[in-house]
Amino acid sequence: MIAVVFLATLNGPAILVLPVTLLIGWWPSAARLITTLNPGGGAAAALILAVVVFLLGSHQFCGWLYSKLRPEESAYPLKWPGRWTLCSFGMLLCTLLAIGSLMLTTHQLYWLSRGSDPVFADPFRENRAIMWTAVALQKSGESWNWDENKVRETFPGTDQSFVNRTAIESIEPIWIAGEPGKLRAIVLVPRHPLLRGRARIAVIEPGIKSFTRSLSELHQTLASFGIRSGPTANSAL
Amino acid sequence: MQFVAGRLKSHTPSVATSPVGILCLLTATAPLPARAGMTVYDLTDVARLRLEDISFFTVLLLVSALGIRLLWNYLAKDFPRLPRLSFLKALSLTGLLSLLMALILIMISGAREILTPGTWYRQGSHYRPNDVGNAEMRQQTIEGLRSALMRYANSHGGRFPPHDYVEEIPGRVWEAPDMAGTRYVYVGGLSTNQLTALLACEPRNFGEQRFALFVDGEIKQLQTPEIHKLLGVPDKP
Repeated sequence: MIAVVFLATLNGPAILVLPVTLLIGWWPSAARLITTLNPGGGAAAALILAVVVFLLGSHQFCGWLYSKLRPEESAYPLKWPGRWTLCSFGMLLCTLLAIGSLMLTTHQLYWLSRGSDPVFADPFRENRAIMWTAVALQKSGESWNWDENKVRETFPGTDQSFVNRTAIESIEPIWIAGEPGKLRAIVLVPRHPLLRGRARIAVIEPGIKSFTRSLSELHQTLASFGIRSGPTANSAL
Repeated sequence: MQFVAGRLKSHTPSVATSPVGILCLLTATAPLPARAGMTVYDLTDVARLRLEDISFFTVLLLVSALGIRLLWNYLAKDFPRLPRLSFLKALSLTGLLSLLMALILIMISGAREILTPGTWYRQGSHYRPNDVGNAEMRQQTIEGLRSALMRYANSHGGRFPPHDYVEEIPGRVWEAPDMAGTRYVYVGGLSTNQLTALLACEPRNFGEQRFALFVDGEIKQLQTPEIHKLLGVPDKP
């Protein structure tokens, strides 16, 4: 126990995130489900009607069958009680829910194992790729006096070997033109961030040391350069 | 007073070493932010969502098993010969029923393939829609991007957008049809007279064979090395 606590305090997130997510993850998942549920009045009415018809119909049928099968001398009630129908319906509902849960858990595990994205990622490694490219582009910009075509040409060749990717495949550059043929700024956006909440964009401007910002600040950053991208610019953001 | 203090004193270490205490500690330490410079792995966004869903379905399964147990035992009061159900037995029952359902679903998917040959392809023990359908969707999506880009070029003197955050083209048009909505690799700033230039292509997560859009409007499937050559990515030494 002490060893677990020691490890938890030493490198908590990496070791514990998996079991803790499994332990308490049902709450955010349920919240997501509730917020996305948007039943229409018609659908809700149809559901209630179907349940009522099913309950009444099955109660009638069970009552008829019970009256035919019940021995004359029996300790059981004379009529099929309503609570038996309700209990049977409740058990059927619980069984279907359990079956669905187990099936969907299997599906989630399958998708998790077959997905192209990894289960774990290092946010620093992700952000380092952006910073590395920003520094390289800053140098390139300064050496080419921020000539748009020249700087653009150097971008695809930026070394990204430490993340085993090419810059143009993993990073999306937004070239912001200033004077004719010259760059005013470059904004680098991760194309497929694995940890969106911790992902960062890089801003490169002539005469200013490149800096990073949170990905959630992309629209404000673009707006500061007069690019009105709007809230629909990236539906995933 | 001393007695109370003694009780308190005797309780403190037991909480620290009890499972609940450990759990609280682990939960508290798990969301700690990663420290700069350290390689700290965290769950990727997709993996976190999947694990949270697994957690939710597991809780639902347990609650359903509990519901079955309670209802069964309530009914058992009316049927003296009906044995009482323990929670473990209820859980086992739902597990067995889920396996039955899994068998039925596999049989249905097999029958579906036999009845509609060519529409599905086998992947392990499951059937998936044939790839042609996916390729069609991918082609349709990139055709949508082509239409938007051509419209933009027509209204801007033959110039394509400088970047993919222009106000005139909605954000969804730039997103490739994958689950994460990864954006197309777009080469901004080209004009309609650069006919053979690559304008956009699907991102890397679409595999080695990807759809690519050229300035003249042609859409081709290209291998990654061909795409890299057209994008100007230098060969690795």
